[in-house]
Amino acid sequence: MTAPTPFEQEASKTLDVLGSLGLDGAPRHFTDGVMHRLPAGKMPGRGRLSGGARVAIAALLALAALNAAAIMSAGSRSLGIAREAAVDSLAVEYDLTPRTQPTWE
Amino acid sequence: MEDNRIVQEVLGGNQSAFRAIVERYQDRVFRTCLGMLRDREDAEDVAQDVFVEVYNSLGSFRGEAKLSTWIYRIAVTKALDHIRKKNRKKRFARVQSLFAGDMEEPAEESPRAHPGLRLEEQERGDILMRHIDRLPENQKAALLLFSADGLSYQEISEVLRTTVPAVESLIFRARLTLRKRLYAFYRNHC
Repeated sequence: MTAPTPFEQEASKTLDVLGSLGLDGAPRHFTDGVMHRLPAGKMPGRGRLSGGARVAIAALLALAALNAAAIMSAGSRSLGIAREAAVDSLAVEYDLTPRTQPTWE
Repeated sequence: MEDNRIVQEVLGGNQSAFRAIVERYQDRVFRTCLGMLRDREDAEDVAQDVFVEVYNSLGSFRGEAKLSTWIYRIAVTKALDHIRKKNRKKRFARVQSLFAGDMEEPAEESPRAHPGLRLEEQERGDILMRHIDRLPENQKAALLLFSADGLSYQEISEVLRTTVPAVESLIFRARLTLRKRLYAFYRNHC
């Protein structure tokens, strides 16, 4: 087995520093700082929605609104057709078709 | 008092009970943030944000995972968000300086070693942290949670929502990449 080169030795020594990381704890008064930042009188909730979730909900609501508009317009169109058909059938039944010639002629 | 009992008290409207949670986890959260951000002020700000988020979302904590795991998860997410935001700002500043006709690259922020290192390790720490910063996010998070926070593979897998073998692989690849890059660094600089 070959001995490690000086560069490999240096790399190993530097990697060993990993074991010394994270010796510090939170600064003093940290807890007070957090407690001051809590919303006064507000109970904990279920968290805020992420940006992505908000966009998804907005998109769904927009789609629902578009669907509702399309349904209403289709509905009013079919109501219009039904009304015209009813008027036509009444016109036939009671002979209310507009006359082409005035009756006095 | 057990974590779950404190959570129930806070959810029951006793806001001051939350102090016990902060006191119990503040060192761990601060260390995680410090390891990822390497700036004491940034780490303190982000660690405080973590606890505010924990409080605001406590209603969604179902107790399926340990409270510590849940808090670590929020801490890692917040720290990574902070790094991304900072990188975006740096990129924007670089583009701005190019448009302003300033052909000189903005000076790189001087690398700072982990503030928790002893003085004699600062130089090596500088070099190491500079290389850790260049690792992919998930490798960096796994490596620091393991090395700096002393979490087990099982705990890291719960924090990062992955499997134990995946964590082993992340840490193995991180160390391998670091070793290669450090070797290249010393070969070019010695």
